[in-house]
Amino acid sequence: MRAALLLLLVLAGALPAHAQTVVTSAGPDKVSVTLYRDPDRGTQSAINRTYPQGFALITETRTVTIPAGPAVIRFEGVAGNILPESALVSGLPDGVEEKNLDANLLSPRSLFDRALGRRVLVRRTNPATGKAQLLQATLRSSADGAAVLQFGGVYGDLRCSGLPEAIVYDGVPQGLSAKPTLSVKTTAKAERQVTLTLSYLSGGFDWQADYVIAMRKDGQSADLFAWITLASTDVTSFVDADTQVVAGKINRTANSNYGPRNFVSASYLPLQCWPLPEYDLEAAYSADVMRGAVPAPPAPPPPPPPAEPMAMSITTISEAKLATAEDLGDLKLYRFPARVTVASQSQKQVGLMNKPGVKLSPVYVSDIMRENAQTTLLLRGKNNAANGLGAAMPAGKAAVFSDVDGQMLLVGESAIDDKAVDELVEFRMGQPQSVSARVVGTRRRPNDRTTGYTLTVTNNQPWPVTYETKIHLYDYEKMARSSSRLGRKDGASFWTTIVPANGTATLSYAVRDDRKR
Amino acid sequence: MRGLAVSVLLLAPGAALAQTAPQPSAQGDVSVTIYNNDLALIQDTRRLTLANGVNRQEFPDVSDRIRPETVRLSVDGASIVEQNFDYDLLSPSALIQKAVGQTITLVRTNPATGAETRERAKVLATNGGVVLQIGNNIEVLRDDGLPVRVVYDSLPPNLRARPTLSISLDASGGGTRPATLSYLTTGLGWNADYVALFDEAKSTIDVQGWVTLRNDNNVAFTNADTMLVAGAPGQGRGGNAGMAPGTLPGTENARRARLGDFYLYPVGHRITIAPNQQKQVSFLSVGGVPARKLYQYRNDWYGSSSDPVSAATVLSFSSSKDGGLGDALPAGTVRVYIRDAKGQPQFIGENRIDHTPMGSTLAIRTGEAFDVKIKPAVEKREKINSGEWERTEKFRISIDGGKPTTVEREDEVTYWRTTMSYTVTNARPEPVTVDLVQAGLDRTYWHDTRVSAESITGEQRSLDERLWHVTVPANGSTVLTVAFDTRY
Repeated sequence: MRAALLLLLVLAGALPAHAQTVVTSAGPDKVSVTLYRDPDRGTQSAINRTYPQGFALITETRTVTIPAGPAVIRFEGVAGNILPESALVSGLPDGVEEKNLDANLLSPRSLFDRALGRRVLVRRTNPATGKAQLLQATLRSSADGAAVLQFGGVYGDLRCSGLPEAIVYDGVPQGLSAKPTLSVKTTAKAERQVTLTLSYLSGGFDWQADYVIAMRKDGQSADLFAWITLASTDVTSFVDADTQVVAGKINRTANSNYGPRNFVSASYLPLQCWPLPEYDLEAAYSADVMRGAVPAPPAPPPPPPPAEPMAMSITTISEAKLATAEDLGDLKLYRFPARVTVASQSQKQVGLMNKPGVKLSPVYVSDIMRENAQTTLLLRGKNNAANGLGAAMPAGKAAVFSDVDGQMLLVGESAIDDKAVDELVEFRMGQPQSVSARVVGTRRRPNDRTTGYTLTVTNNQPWPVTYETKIHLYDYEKMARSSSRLGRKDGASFWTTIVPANGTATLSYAVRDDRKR
Repeated sequence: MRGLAVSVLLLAPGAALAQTAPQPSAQGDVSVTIYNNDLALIQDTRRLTLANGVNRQEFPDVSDRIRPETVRLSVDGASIVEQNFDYDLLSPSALIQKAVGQTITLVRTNPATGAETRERAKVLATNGGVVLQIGNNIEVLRDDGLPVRVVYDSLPPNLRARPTLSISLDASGGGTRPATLSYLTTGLGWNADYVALFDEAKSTIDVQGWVTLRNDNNVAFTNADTMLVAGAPGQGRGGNAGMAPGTLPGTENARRARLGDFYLYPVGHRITIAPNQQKQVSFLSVGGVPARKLYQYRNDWYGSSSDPVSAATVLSFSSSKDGGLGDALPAGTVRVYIRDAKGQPQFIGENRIDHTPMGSTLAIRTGEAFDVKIKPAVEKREKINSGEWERTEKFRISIDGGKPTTVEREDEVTYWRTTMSYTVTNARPEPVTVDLVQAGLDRTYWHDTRVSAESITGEQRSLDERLWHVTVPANGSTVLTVAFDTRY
């Protein structure tokens, strides 16, 4: 009975005294989540699953009955990392007067601070008997000087005595909430049920494309499958959400600060006491350890044995449902085939594209500067329909597999940036072992203006390979002659050839230094 | 028996529960003027009851981030004797420090039985531990770690629960009169947030402007007449972020009140600014404003890129009265949305704008175009002889004190010709025009870069920048080649 009365009083205390009515919308009826990739994350780096730096646009449909007259609609169940200034509410017949994010949170500090000058109870438990004693007290200090209390005519502190003591408050002060809460103010002419759309940006999400490339036996084509990999760390799960991802680079401003600001420090209540004598007991303990009085901590467990090399195999994705693509201005939007739950603290994958039989040819390329040659293996294909592609390819990582005696083994990992249709797509596979390029320079006399160079490319594979090189010159240098005709590419001299199986290819050329001597 | 006492105690605060509503604020009629640089002016008109002569008045419920040196009180028939801001806060350690030389009560609790014993002690010092004199013995408080409670008979007068502003007034007569307290405080700030919904097919935008104000103070300003100043006193207006390149700031006069150089944005009605609150109030809503999408690319130096670079997508519109938003725009963030195939608005990027006068042309870079890319390349660097000669040396020579003769040396000017190519590709199903800018033209010692050939006629936007409008057909590409002659 008394408990019921108390509860009633607590509830009464929690209600605001204003004339406006508070309507709480507990959660969305329907939700749509659009994820955006972290614009500052390089194509090579993985999603930070602990603190993803991408973001999402959450669009929620909520049904609310609004009363006539001034009312406040509180939205609960929004994303924890909401960017409150991005919140938009549409569907209110009489418009939004103001939007508020209240972050006056219920915390030890706010409870204490609001009770300044008021009567509270102090529960003191007798450590010997376990009996609790409740004492009437008045708080005399603010949270910055906690805690000084008045007990009748005398004054004291809290817990400095070493006795278990706690403050018992008589209710929750008005205007304190459990979580930062978004609310809007409106004044409706008549009571009615409305369907609102609430949209906002939220941090704590990220996504990327993940390409799985299975090279075919001919070595010139591959089966390409791509996943959309998305991650969420938000506290809120978005159940049965229409899910989209947006590809392309979006501009963000530096001051997009998501989520609560310094709420934790604003909630902390430090209790202060008078200075206690301090003795250096640590030093005494170490001295005991030195003498062997205290047993040393046990040795760490032995490291686990190294993992067995994993025979990677890829699941053949047959008839996977793929996301559908559409243009969104100058960006690309991929719509998930079915509603999914974007769960809190989770990663999820959905098919992005499935392109069997893509022409993807291996090319060995070098960049040559004087006697230095950097050689890389590329898997190159033009992103068009004739090559089996012809769709926008969002930035992401690629894993390349090759069929070795009927087993698909990982041969390399790579990454690509956003690639438009008709653009050249090149997966850089790193420095090859089977093809290498060497450049040797010669001068007849030490002060000769012309230097001769010989480029030798070796191939120790039993099949011919395509080789390309760009020869970079300084401004004052000129290509004087070459044994083969050279083209131009990206502002450099360009040569391409086929290196025969288990053979070599050579190019000799001469560079003239035009500086006056 | 004790159980009964407890229940009585429990019921007693039940009666006090009705008081959980906030205590009435001591603030009077409040007006708040918020600037952009974390600064606000509070003007608070309270009614003071003064006696004839010198009165000491405390002013509770001022902002907790008050700058006390800026406090000004204007009251009729009274002059200010002194103004104090006391921030010696009441805390257990401050209490014991003020108790040095005084006598306090110690309550010791027997940990085995729970029995309490009381004794009086004199506080001698509080340096790294509280030194007490109990009878003839000297000991350190709680040196043994056993429970000891300290009880004081009174609170020292100068310790306060919160930093307190107090003003001593010399009143020429008794009675109640209004007094306006004004002060500057930090912890209040504002900026604008814009939502722009772009309709690409119609080339229009619908723009909503919201004023976002933040209160990081623990004090509420109830029913405050709120004014927002688009400016930061002492810091100037800031840069020109958001202005379209090559345009001047607008010259139209917005229908808003001004404060010196700054525009004022009144909120329209009185609002309550709650503690730790972020509040948004609408100040602008216009629909169907003409807007167009631009593609921009800027090459900062004569450089090549081995991978194509995306052009920036830029949304351009005007703040003019005719064909624009029709208002001066306070600084803030513009978030741009576009409807997807199902008609749902989706976010496509954001950018900052500075305080923008009415009549300006804005260009908001929202992101990069997936399908429009540029690949710049240095095609050739060659030395050319211009056929120009310049005097490089001049001597006056006099032989054996004779008439001096002048000898001049002239060298032919050598130029370097840099031929750049810019391959612009477009994978979109419609033709696009890219505003391509080559910068760095005036960044050399000689300041005499010339453009000797260009495949599309460009326009020199400044000494340093040249602009070409490159039109690219649908699913096609265009190559722009330009030759720059420089002296290095």
